[in-house]
Amino acid sequence: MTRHLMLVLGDQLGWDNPALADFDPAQDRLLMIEADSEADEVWNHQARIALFLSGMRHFANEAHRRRWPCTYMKVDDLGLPSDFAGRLAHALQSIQPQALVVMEAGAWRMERLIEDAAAQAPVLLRWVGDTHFLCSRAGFAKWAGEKKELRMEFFYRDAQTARRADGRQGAHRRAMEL
Amino acid sequence: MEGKEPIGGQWNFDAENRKGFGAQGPGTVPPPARFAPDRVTQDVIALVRERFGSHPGTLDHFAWPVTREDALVALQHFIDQRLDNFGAWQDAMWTTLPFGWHALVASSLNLHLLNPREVIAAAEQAYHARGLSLASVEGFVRQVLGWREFIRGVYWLDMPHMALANHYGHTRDLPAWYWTGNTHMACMQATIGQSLQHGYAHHIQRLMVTGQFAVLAGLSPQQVSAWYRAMYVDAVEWVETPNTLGMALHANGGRFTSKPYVASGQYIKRMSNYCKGCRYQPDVRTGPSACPMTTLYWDFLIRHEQDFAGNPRTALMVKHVGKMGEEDKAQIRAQAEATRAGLNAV
Repeated sequence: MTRHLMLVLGDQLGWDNPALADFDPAQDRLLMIEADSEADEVWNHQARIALFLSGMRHFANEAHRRRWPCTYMKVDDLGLPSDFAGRLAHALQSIQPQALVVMEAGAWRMERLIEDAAAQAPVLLRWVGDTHFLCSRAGFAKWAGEKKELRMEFFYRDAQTARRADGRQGAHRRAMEL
Repeated sequence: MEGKEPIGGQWNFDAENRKGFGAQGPGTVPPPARFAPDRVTQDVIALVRERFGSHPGTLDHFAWPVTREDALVALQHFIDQRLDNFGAWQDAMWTTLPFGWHALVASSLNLHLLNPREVIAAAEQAYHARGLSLASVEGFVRQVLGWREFIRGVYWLDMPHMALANHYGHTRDLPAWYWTGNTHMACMQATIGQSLQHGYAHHIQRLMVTGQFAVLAGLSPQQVSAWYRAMYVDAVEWVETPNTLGMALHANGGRFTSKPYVASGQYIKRMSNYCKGCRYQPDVRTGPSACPMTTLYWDFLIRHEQDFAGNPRTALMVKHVGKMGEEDKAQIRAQAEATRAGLNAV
């Protein structure tokens, strides 16, 4: 019985991913999906495809070294749907986790796709904030407030000031509060 | 930061960070760290050649970091060898120097092989310990802490409608040579050519060469955005979409920029060696040797004269248009029309 299935996307190859913080190899499993649809969504440069696939495979190799269970779907694996959504649905169906855990994605479309797949399964979906970035989505929305025009220069000054205040408190990893 | 004031007393060193290489050229630039494909990458390269071989670009020069270990080496190499000169030359372009003095850490950051905190800390530490140029270190840190975080914030604030933005109503198809580099415009040839080789071009090549041309030629913002997402190894959607639609194409009407980024072929001449040997002359607006970038630039100003005149950031740009004779304007407009009609052959 799998407790958490943790989907790791191609642009989430850091081991500081907070979705992995409470990973328990005894009851959790990683899921990584290569798919034609990701390479074809726009007519991708061959080097871009190679970078993402190689980065993902190196990550999976490291998971293997750590003896973390990982379901890894290669782009040319036979007997699987060819597109990302189909492959995710297939994984949810065959693994039947108690929850799907994913860190915030790098594309709006990808988040909708994951939500749809989780609703279809159905499976509990838990999003985890992306702490790679210093400023959270909510933090930025708060900073933007009702401003009609957003200007990087002002954001940057506020960010520098907030970072300095954070540094004094020794809070290096949490999202900065602007 | 030092107390309430930034170190050096200045928030922004942009004015010092806009040099071209000049007639003498860039001199000796230490090359960035590149990584020979290991076994895993070799297998992936073979797979991509077989399965996606019809896709644009080549794998012959693939040397990007694919692990955190390699990414850390690349970062340290940049800090040690290239950061000190990054600031001054970050906007400069040269045909034989596809990477300039740039860091090439964006792909590693955007795949999360590197954490922005450690990247910023490494640059700041080098400033304090080794006295690197403040303008360089500040110029680099503002890209990571400022622009990158800001752009991601804007993406999630404005999606999904941001992706559909088309302020100028531009609908023209991307000319085929955006995918091949087969054009007589030397600047586009160089920028697209190195993009196909490496999946990389630096910010000014993306903004002021391919981006500027796209907005001046009236290309569909959605097609242009898909092109950038396809072409660059670091192009994750959250960073590519706002940079293309908002910054390069002004397609969201200035939601986070104070003006469209357009500047004619003369700017490219000042910042690069591309124009040397090009069949088009950057200072010529009409006639057979006219630079398409320059023709389309003036046509763009003529068409948007009123808009530009009303914005203090762009009023100066159209002052010259106000003094132009009607005949001059008509000639530019006719040349621009012909350029757009024959876009696939420029």
